[in-house]
Amino acid sequence: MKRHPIKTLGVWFLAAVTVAVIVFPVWWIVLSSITPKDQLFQTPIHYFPVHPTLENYRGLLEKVNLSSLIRDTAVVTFFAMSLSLLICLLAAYGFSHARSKGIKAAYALLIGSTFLPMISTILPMFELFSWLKLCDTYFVLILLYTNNFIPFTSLILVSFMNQLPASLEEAARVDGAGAMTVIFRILLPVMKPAVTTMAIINFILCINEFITPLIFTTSKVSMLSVGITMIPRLNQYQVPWDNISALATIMLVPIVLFVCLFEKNIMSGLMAGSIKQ
Amino acid sequence: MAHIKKRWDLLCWLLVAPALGTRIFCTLYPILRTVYDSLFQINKIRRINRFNGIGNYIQMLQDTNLLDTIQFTAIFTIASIALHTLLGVGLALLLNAQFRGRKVLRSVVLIPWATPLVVAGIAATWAFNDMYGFVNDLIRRVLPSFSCDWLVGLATARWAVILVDVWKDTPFYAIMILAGLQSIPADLYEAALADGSGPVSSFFRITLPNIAPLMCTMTVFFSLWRLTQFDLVYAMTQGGPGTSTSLLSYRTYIEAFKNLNFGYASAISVVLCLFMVVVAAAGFRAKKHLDFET
Repeated sequence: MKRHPIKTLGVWFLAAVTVAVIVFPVWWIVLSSITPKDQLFQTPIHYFPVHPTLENYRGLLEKVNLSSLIRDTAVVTFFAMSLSLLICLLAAYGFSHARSKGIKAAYALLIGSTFLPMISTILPMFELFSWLKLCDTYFVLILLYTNNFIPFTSLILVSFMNQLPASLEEAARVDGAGAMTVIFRILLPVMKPAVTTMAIINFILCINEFITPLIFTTSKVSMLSVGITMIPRLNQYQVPWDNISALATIMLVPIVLFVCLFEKNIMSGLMAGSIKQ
Repeated sequence: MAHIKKRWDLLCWLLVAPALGTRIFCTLYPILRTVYDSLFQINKIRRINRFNGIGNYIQMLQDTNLLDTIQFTAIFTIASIALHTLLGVGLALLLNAQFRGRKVLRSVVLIPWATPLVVAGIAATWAFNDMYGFVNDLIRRVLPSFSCDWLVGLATARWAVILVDVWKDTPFYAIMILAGLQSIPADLYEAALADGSGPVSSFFRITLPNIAPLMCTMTVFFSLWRLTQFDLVYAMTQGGPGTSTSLLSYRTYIEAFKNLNFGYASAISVVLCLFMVVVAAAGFRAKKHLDFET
C-alpha cells in the first residue's frame, strides 16, 4: 500500500517521543549509578558519562547484603513461578473440562477474587502467620505470591485449553490414559507457548511484588523490592541517590533485557488477557 | 452413565482444588475476617480487643485526615484514568501503525510495565528534587530560572505522583487496547475508505465504537488498581507533605502497622472495598449499555 510521506514522518516523530519519554528516566538512573557522588550534586546534569566509576556499587555493598537479597529473591521467584504454573495447569484442565455448574461458579469466583485488595486481606493473614511463627520464611512468601498469580494464570491457561481440539486427547483416552498422562504428556507440549508466556509474566510480577514482602518479612528473608526502600533516607525528600541508583540499576538491567528478549511472548500473553475479560 | 459423570466431576474438583483452596485460604477467608474485625476495637499496643459495633465507622466520619485521604484517592483515580484513556488510546493507535521500528517500540513500551513500582517511586523522589532532579534540569534548559520543589508543595506533589503513575501504567493500558484494535476486521476500514471517509472520521465511526466496550472494561480494572495503589506512595512521598498524597491503602497500612489499630484499619479497608464495588458496578452497567448499542 502506498503511504503518505507526511503521515510516515508523523508516526516516526510520535514513536521517537514515546521512546524518549520511556527510556530517558531509565537511562538517567543507570547513568547516575556510574556517576561519582559529588557530581550527582551538580547542575546542570551531564546526560553522558563524564568520569564513570563503580564507587556507588562499592558503597552499596557496604550498606546492604546484596548477595542475600538476590538469593532470596531468586529462591522465592523460582518456587512461586513453578508452583503457580503447576497448580494452574491442573486447575485449567479441571475448569475447562468440567460439566457441573458448581465448578463453573467456582471459576467465576476465582477470577472475580482478583479485585479484592491486598491491603484488606493482609491483616488477618499477618495475624495468622505471626501466630503460627511463619513470618520471615520462604514458605509464606511462596504461598502468598503463588496465591496472587493464580487468577490471571488460570484465566490464560483455561482460555488456551478451551481452544484446543477435543480430538487431541480423545485418542489417548481411548487407550486408557489417566488425567495426569493427558495433561503432562499430551496437552503440556501443545501448550508450551502459553506456559512459557505465563512463566515470563509471573517472573516479572515476582520481582515487582512489594507489599507482601514488606509485611511478611523483617530480617531473615529479604527481597530486592523491599531492600531498595531499606537504604536509609536522609529525610523525606532526600534519598542516598548514589547507592539507590546502583541498586535500581541492578534490578532494572535484567528486567529490560528480559523484556526485549521476550517481547513477543509478553505481548501475546497480556493481549490474550485483555480480550478474555 | 450417572456414575461416570459423577466420577468425572470428582476428578475435576480434585484438579482445581489446589488453586481454589489457596485462593479461598489466602484471599476469601481473610477478607471475611477483615469485615468481622472491623466491628472490633483492636489495639496491639494497649492490648485491647473489644466489640465496638459500628464505632470504627463512626470514627471514620470524624477523622478529617481520612476524609482528605479519600479525597486524594478520588482525585488520583480520576486524573490518572483520564490521562490513561487519552494517552493510552493514542499510544495503542501508534503501536498498531505499520512502520519499521515497530518491534523496537513494542519492546520499549513494556519497560515501564516491567519496572517495579517501588523503583520508579524511589527514583521519582530524586527525579523531582528541585536542585538535582532531572525533571527541573530539563525544564531549566528552556526556562533557566525555573525552580520548584515538587514534592514539598501540596498540589505539585499530587501531580508528581499522578505523573509517575501515568508513566508506569499507560503503556500497559495501551497494550490492552491494542488487543482490541487488532480484532477489528480490516474490511470495515476498506469499506470506509471506499466511501471516501478520512482517517479522523473512520476513527470516530469505526475504531472508537469497536473498542468502546473494551475501554469501558479497562477503565473499570485500571480504576480499581488506582484505588488500591500502595507501592508508589510508599516509595515516593510516604503520603507527604502532611497527608496530602496519602491513599486509602497507604492509610490502612499506617493505621495497622504503625499505629497498630487493627480494628480501625480493617474498617478503612472495608470502606475501600465498598468504593471498589461501586466503581465496578457502575462500570459494568455502562458496559452493558455499550454492548447493547453496538
